[in-house]
Amino acid sequence: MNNSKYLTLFILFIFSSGCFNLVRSEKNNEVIQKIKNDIPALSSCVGIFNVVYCDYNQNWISTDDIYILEGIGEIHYGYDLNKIKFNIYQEGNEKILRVTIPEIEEIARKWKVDNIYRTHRNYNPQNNDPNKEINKDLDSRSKQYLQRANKFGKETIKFYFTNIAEIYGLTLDLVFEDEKKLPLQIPPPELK
Amino acid sequence: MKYQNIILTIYKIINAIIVNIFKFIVKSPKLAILIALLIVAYSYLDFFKGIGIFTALGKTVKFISSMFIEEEEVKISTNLLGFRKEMNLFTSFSIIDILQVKRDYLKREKLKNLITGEKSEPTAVVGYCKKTYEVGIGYKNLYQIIKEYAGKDIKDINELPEPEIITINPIASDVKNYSREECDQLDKDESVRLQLIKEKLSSAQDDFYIYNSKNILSKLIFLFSSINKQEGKDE
Repeated sequence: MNNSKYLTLFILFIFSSGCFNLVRSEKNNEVIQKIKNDIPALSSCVGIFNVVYCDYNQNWISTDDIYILEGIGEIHYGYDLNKIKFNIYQEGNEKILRVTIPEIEEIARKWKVDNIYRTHRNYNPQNNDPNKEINKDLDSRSKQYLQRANKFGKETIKFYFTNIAEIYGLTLDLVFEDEKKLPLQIPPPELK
Repeated sequence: MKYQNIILTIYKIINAIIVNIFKFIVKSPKLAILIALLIVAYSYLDFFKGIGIFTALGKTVKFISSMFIEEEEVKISTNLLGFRKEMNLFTSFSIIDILQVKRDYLKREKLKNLITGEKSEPTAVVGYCKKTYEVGIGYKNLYQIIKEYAGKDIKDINELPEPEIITINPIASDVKNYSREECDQLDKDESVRLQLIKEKLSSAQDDFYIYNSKNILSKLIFLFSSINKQEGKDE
């Protein structure tokens, strides 16, 4: 008598959960469609990161599942080309190339896997997308290292623009907007 | 006490199921064999694929087991190794999907091949791996390009070099009945993924990004070339 009561309870649960979808339905994986504006940019330095992603799933019956990705991530830091200003003017016998550089920002990223470690061949991290998670983590890291990238980027930009100015026999005057150098009150005279 | 009661109830349910199954088999063995055959047909031959009650049964088992299994734990560690000096010109960005499918025999096809001895190519798509990439296109080592074209009079924009792929970043992935390891192997082999992305870009037959990139490069080169022309005039 008791057995049939519990059996009835179980059958009712099966039907109700099936009919009313009380069981957890599968998660919809939404693909991120991040549309980046086609803004041209000049990258001045690349931050190189070692990224390790570990996914651990405890199992009730069998061995716990582990999935590990290890690789190198690169973040390209640089400047919006539309915001870089070029001015050429004469000062005595010298021709000066003035380049105004805006604030540094993240331009692009690159991610390459070096090693994959897993418990068994068919284990798939069920509820997490490793690529989304890694990008989320890099979003926060990128901001943390912006100051250091700024310092390194400035050195690189100064080096390359000095060489470019030398090709054309010009003297370089590099202005960084974030250092708040006072702009000239009088606009520079045009080359005659 | 509350948890003890729950465990006791679950034990009683399982006990009731097992006892009643045995009673049923003993009472009507022919019907039991028929039901067992139906279960085998469902599990191994896909005859009843998609029928509501069986889907509900499968989902219920998953739900019950999830009460005992803890959620996945994810840990990410990111360490800065250093900075590298590079001056690249990014002219455009693109979002590209790379799809890999897994083909296999359906279970009834496997049974048929086993009986008849035939071995045709599997056609049913049983799994897929879709990776979404953000691709940065432009010119590497801009300084060398400017040095090369310094002083040259560029009459036609087509004289300029074609842009190349500078960065490839997987931003999302979707895996169904496909090994995650096999899916991520694409990010291990850089030459293969670069080739696939190039094929996708060229298959669109849209040369706008090439024209756009050359246009931006030409503006930069023209800026410095105009200084050179001015110098010539002064001399």
